[in-house]
Amino acid sequence: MSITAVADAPGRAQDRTSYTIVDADIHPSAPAAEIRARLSAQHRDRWDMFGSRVPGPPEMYPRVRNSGFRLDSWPENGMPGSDLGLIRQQLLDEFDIDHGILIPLQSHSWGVEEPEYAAALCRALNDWQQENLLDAEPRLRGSIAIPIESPDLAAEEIRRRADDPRFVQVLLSTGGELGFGRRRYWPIYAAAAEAGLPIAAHTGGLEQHRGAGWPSFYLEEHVWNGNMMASLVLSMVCEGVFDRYPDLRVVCVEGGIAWSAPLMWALDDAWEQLRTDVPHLRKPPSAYIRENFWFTTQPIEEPDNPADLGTTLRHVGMDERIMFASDYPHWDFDSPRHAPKQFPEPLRQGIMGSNACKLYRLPERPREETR
Amino acid sequence: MRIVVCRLEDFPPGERRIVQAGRRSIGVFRVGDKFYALNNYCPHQGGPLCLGATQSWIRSSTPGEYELEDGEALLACPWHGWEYDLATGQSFLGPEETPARTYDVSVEVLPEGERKPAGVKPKGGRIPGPYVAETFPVHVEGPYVVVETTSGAKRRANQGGGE
Ligand code: FES
Repeated sequence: MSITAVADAPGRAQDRTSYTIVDADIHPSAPAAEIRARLSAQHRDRWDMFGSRVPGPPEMYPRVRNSGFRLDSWPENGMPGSDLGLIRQQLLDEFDIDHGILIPLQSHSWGVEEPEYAAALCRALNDWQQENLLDAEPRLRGSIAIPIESPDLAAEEIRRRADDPRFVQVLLSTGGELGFGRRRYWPIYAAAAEAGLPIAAHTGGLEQHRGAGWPSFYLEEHVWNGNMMASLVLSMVCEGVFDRYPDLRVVCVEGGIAWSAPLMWALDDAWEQLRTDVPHLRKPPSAYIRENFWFTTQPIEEPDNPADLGTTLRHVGMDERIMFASDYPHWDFDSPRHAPKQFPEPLRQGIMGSNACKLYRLPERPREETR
Repeated sequence: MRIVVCRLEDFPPGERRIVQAGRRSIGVFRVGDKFYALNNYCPHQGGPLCLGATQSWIRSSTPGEYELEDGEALLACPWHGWEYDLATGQSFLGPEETPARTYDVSVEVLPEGERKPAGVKPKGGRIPGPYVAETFPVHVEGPYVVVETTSGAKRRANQGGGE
């Protein structure tokens, strides 16, 4: 059936809320031509010869239909997330969002190439974010894409953007050549801490599925996200990243939340007996998680009985550290109009916006204003 | 309320139209010669349901063999792909959730030029709208101008208008 026969946009009336709405996970997508145009002649040759990186094993496994995007999010030309007009119409305006944090996932597959090339790709992506989205739309904030496997060049890119307040964090993936606590990556954390920028670890990257073998099903891969995130948290805490950089803040994006409570229980319990194994840890492992980590909501675990989510969040005990994320324009998008109903009333306002405003130092919507 | 979608010949099989009625958006689908109309609002999370893809029922007797039924009978929401029966709005995910709202669609043949409200003809190139403001007859009685507010039945008997 033809879908071009749509006579009119849906045009639903806007709901305005009294609280600030921050969307902590919006995926823009830079068109290939826009990246190419921002590369030097030498790197452009490489781009022309090979295009974007050849898909590694994860990309060869069955993926979700429609490339994992909302069917209505495709602009007339190009990929979902490439058209600012549509991002405004379907997300920022539709849901009256105060601030939206951009997370360009292209850098998750650009970062393990020849180091200078990987750095050039990330730099082009950041320039595109800045010129096409941040300059044009004050509600948006950017994440600094970095060549993850070349931390010296990554640190350079962080320093290059550190003075632009519109870039509010550094983008890390959950899949790298080594565990993310390893010292190889510390120059990234040093540069982020020095710039006062949080690190946002978004699921995906070099190895999307940790453990033995590859998944046969997309369902299998998708639900594994939380486990990938748990291994990143575990590695960073145990290797002593936060003893070296106590002010470093890490946002776990798109990895679920509920797993963190049992992880904290297990860590603290084992640490009681094995603390001599990790003499560099100054406090119980859960204390690092509670002080240095933030979580985003999409995809949040949804128990059969919605009340159990409240119980779970209570166990996690990170009320001020949970931030709403829509994951626009992906297929598992969470509507900012429906999501608040999931959260216990006392946590709602914080999750939907004010927690993110505190972390990213963004202004909150004036309270008394009736909008 | 009755909403005129478009002329039948402008609505070929396999197409859809989205009409706006006040705050409500309604998707009208033509499958062969059958018409369906659903609220353009997905009960799951409020997605624009009627922008989704339509699909037919699939039957399978054994693994590896499947048969598509004739005609598109299901509508998959563009956001998370929940499928709804075009005719009833029933979803086949989330059994506890309410179905999408459906509406009746009919094809009406009206004599050329005739539009709702019944019998009112286009005038001076203008097409009559859905509302009719109440009018009252006015006449002149000797030195006085008089407005008539007697009951509808009596008023209709009156020729109306100023003399
Ligand atoms: S909003 Fe329609 S399937 Fe979720």
